[in-house]
Amino acid sequence: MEDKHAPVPYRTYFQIWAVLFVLTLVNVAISQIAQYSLKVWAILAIASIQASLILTILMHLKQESKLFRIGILTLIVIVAIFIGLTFSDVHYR
Amino acid sequence: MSIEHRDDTGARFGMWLFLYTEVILFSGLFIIYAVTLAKFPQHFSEASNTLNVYIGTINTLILLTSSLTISLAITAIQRDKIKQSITLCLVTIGLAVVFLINKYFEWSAEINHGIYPGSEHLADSAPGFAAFFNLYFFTTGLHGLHILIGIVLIGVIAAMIAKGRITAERSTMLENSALYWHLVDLVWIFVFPLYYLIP
Repeated sequence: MEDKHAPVPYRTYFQIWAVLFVLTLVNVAISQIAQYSLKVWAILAIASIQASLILTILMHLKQESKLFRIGILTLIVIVAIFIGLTFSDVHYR
Repeated sequence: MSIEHRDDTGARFGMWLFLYTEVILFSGLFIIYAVTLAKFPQHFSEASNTLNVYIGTINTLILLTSSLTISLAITAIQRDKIKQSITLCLVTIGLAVVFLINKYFEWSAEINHGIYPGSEHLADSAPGFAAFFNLYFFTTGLHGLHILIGIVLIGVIAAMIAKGRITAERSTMLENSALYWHLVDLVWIFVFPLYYLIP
């Protein structure tokens, strides 16, 4: 297992920053023009793309071992169950 | 020379385990938000419209930029550019302070309009409207507290770099602090659309 990461070039970070910057503005634009039902899912989808970029590049998950990826996957599954159960409870109350 | 026992991967994984608990903490708030939104979409829309989208957008961009500078600080230290790394840490702190100042003006404006948890104005308004602002103050308050902790943490890290305690060879402390800072950014990436854009 690699204990030390090779330095990520400055350019990579600037590129990711630019993409995150633009996606934020896209989200604001969508919120001003799109219809409600479409808007919710479009905005959440773009926020999720931003989140995955932060996780993989900025937080270096891309360079980490499998253990880190299994960890984050487990976390996502747990949160999904958490959300699913809450909504089914509220829905059938 | 003493023999040093270190496990950098272990240290990073420990940080990730802590971050998992942070995600669970904020997910709880997001779930309450989602359930309440489903119940009172109209009230949420009215409440959200009183928030200033411009300040929200600017703060999002500020936080994204601070995530960039702390990332650059890691590469700088790994390339043995000590001064550059310290400067980048200080820029990150500066951006975080600007974020909090914006937040202060936002909260002040709302409080001046009589909107704060437990206020008479909220007690008299629609249940969904009050729920929105109670959640808003709690979530942004908890997030703001994380920013404050991050400012202190990165300040300590900058001092440690200056004293030569963090170097290209042993940069895990800086990397873990950056992980924390990115998580604070990650949480905001969802707080911003949920409160300012979606309703």
